[in-house]
Amino acid sequence: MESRYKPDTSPQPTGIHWRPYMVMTFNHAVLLLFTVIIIYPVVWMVLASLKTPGEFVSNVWGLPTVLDIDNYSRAWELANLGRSLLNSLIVSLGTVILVVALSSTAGYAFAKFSFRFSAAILLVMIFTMQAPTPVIPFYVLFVRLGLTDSYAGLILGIASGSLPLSIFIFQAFFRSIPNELREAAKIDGCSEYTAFLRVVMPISGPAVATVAILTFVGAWNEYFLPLLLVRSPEFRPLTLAVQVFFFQYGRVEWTDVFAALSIASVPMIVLYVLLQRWFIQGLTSGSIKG
Amino acid sequence: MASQSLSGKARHQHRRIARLDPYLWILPAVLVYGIFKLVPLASGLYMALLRWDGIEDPRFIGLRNFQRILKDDLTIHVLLNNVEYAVGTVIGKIVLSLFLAIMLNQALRGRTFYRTSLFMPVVMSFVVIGILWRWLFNAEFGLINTLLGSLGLSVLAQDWLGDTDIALRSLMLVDIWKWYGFHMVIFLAGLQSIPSELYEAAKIDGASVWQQFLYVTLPMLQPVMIVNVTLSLMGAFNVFDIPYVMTEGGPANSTNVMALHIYLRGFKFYRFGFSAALSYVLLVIVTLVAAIQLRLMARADNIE
Amino acid sequence: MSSKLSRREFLKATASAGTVAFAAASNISHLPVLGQGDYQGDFVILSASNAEQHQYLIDGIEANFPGVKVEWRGLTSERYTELFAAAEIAGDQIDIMDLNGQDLRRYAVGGRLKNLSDVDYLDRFRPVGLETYTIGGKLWAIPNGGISGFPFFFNRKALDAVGYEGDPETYDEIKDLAPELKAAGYAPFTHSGQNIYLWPIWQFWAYAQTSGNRPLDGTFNVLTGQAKFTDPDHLAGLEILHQYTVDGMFADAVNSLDVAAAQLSLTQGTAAFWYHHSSFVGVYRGGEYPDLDLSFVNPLRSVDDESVRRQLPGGTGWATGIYSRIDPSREAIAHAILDYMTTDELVAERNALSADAVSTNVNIDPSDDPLAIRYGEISASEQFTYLDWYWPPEITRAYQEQQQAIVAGMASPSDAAEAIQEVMDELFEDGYEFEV
Repeated sequence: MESRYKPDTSPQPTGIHWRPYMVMTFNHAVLLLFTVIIIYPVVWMVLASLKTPGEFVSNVWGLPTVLDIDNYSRAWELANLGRSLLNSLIVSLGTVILVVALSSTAGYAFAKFSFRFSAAILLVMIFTMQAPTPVIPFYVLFVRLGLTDSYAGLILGIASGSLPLSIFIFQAFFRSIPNELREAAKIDGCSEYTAFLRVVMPISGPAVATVAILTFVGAWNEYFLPLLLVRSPEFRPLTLAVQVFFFQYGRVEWTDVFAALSIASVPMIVLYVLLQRWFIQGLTSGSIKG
Repeated sequence: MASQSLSGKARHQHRRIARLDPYLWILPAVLVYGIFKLVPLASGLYMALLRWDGIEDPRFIGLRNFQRILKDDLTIHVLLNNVEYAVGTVIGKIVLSLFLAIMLNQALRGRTFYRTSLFMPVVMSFVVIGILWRWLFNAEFGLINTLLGSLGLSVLAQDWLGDTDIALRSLMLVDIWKWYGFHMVIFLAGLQSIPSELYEAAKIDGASVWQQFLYVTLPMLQPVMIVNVTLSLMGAFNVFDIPYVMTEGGPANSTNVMALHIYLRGFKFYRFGFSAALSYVLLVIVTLVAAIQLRLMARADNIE
Repeated sequence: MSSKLSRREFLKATASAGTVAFAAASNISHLPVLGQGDYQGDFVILSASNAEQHQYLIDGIEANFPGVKVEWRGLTSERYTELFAAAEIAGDQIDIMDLNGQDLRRYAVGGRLKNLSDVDYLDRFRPVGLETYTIGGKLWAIPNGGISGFPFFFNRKALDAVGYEGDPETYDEIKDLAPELKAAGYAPFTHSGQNIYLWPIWQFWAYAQTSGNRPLDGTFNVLTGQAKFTDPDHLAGLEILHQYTVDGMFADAVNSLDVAAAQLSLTQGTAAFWYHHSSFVGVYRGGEYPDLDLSFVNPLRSVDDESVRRQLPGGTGWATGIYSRIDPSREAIAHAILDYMTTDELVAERNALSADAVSTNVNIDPSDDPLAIRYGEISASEQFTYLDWYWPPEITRAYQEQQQAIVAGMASPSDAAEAIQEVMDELFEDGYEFEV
């Protein structure tokens, strides 16, 4: 992991001592500047959510002088965020489970078996995964299957979007596992399937984590599908609840809206900070290997 | 192959199962993807051949919707907006993320802190980001103009989302803010896979830091560069949430982009057929980008 | 937690103008019991407003029609058509359609609504609502809710600050005051110029004046091809906007202000006037705005002719009708439920929710709020129907874009009018027909 590319350590014939320190300070200054630019809006959102409506406009960028925690209880209550938080959790976790199950088995088949049309199937996925889905046929399908206003509908809808990339990630990972492992398991009398479950999956933690995080973040932040498929307030996930709350325009205080925004994003940010290594790897490695 | 150890008959049977077996493994995934993605995608194609407002009975009009798209000034304007958006965000994301990746790719205290912070917007949802930035950009009470004012720089204050010359760029800024951290980490992984010997050799040849960047770093980063450029390019042509939440395409269509145009044609003006046809135009663009990526990746692989 | 509000209370609070409502909501048992059909099962109301706000109505229906289970599908107006179309193709059940007034015309002309001309309770409603929902001589929906519109709101404190007393009547008065208002920290006008509907609504009041108070006829003439948006009367409406712009009447960044941002300018005392919907009265009463002393006038006279009335655009509530392809077994119950939904008691509740000043129902005085009463006295009689209830959405969008361009100094009024007429011409080419 140690860095190999060190543009700041090119030989300095003058041998002046403080030069590296200056470079170091410069590096920190630049990075710090960018960090502040990136983080401040998010911090500002949380600060705004703690201000009184008056301070929201009179003290735009500073710290709140009085903490107005009531914003949170109001937003929580008015936008029914408790229910939405639960919905988001159910949908996100459900999607993760479904996607990991389906894409690991499919990825395994694409990696380890050779069969007709496998390349064609993958190619179709590559070329359609980014295609914008026409909304009306999509919606009609869900109505016909009775999947509007249901967790199953949301889960299947979101999962279908994230399957191709997940399959590619698993496929790439399984390719890197030596065949001998599964051969050995089969010689021990395991079927292909038990070999997969008992031997291959237990050592596939990194791929599972990658797919799980990628899917979880995507499902948690999904907005368009709930907009389309959820009519009843009891199935609204956080994104939709926040948006609906926001569009009560002028009927709610801005500080309450920012409290709702904070509630919607802080859990994910905290989770991210705790698991940042996994998150960063999970969110990006798919695109490198894929 | 394990089947080598089997007797003839068993081998035959095994082969038959083996022929079917892989399909059973992929079946659940293919079913879900096929039903929920491919079926609507295919049936939408038929809709593109209709004239239909959602109320009157649909009429079959063949390729007329596509002919009209070619003549439609607004669609061309929107397409140009989208191209500007794509060029701007791709350059912005690539330059910024590469620069920061290089800065981070050093033995530096607090590297993890920086990386974690700089990556954070990636995990936030566009709904939250859109609403948040709408307020940061608010000309009267927003953070940006207020800060500029307190710094004595009110001349720089702008009507960020209301000025037709600026609004699209403001949205681009938000997009870059959200995504550059993602590209930065990919670049970082790419940088770390460059063997240090290459730099040592370059140094022996007397290459300056800049020359090392040009002749070692950039060429070695080609594969991740392709990934980053295509991902951000495809993102730019599919962008919907940011303009939808922040400007609805205004003012005066200056921030209207393809995905939003499709949505508005369909659901504000009830041109469902025209809107479906537009979505296939976008599909062609996105597919072209994907195809070019595959070509480039294949070529890069060959070179290696 | 002292300020913890339940959602119900929240809705109440924002609708503080309502007085009748609470009783109606908290105790549904006193509501009238109407003719009960013998239908048992699901009953679908496809509404442009959301379910939470109408729980009282759902509860009321279910209590009065035992065995009926109400499914209230709240769709926003902009998604109504999309989801309606999809529901129709998918063979979903639809019984009652509770539309935004601006969508009524499409569904009525498209044959999706039952003719309601013969229902026997029409004397319950103010005639203006019934007239608005009559197309081609037939009534397609029951007006349901409030008669409301867009007056010129202003902050009395702003006018006090420059020593102006009384209610302004003409644009010239405000134009003269503008320098002092600005010196006192007030932009003369704020407006939600980002919102797709709100520049066009600005044009409606202006056009009412430049058309010599014949905004509907003048618009119908364009929609039937007998006149054009480039004709002098329409163009003059856009020139009023241009005049306000070059005279520096609008707040900076007016094109990027959404409703919330414009509202903030008024409530924070940085703008003197705000052109907005009368329901703002309810919001004003429900919040604390120390910098605002709210009042309103009808749109300022901005033409020279003193005989021109200062009319304002408005609407006549939700348009509630019966889906024309309803299953015959539910038709009787649908009529009974529609009757029930538009009774005085339930409309009063709806009035309270949206802080209506004047009800669609003759016998309801929805509010004792002085500003609401004032609206009933000086504004309701000057109201004409929003012009976009008649014309297709493309024209609304074209107006919005072109008006933004005028305000941004990118287009002259005549360029703008030509661009709008061009959109109209394209619609004609596509076979657009208008039925009065």
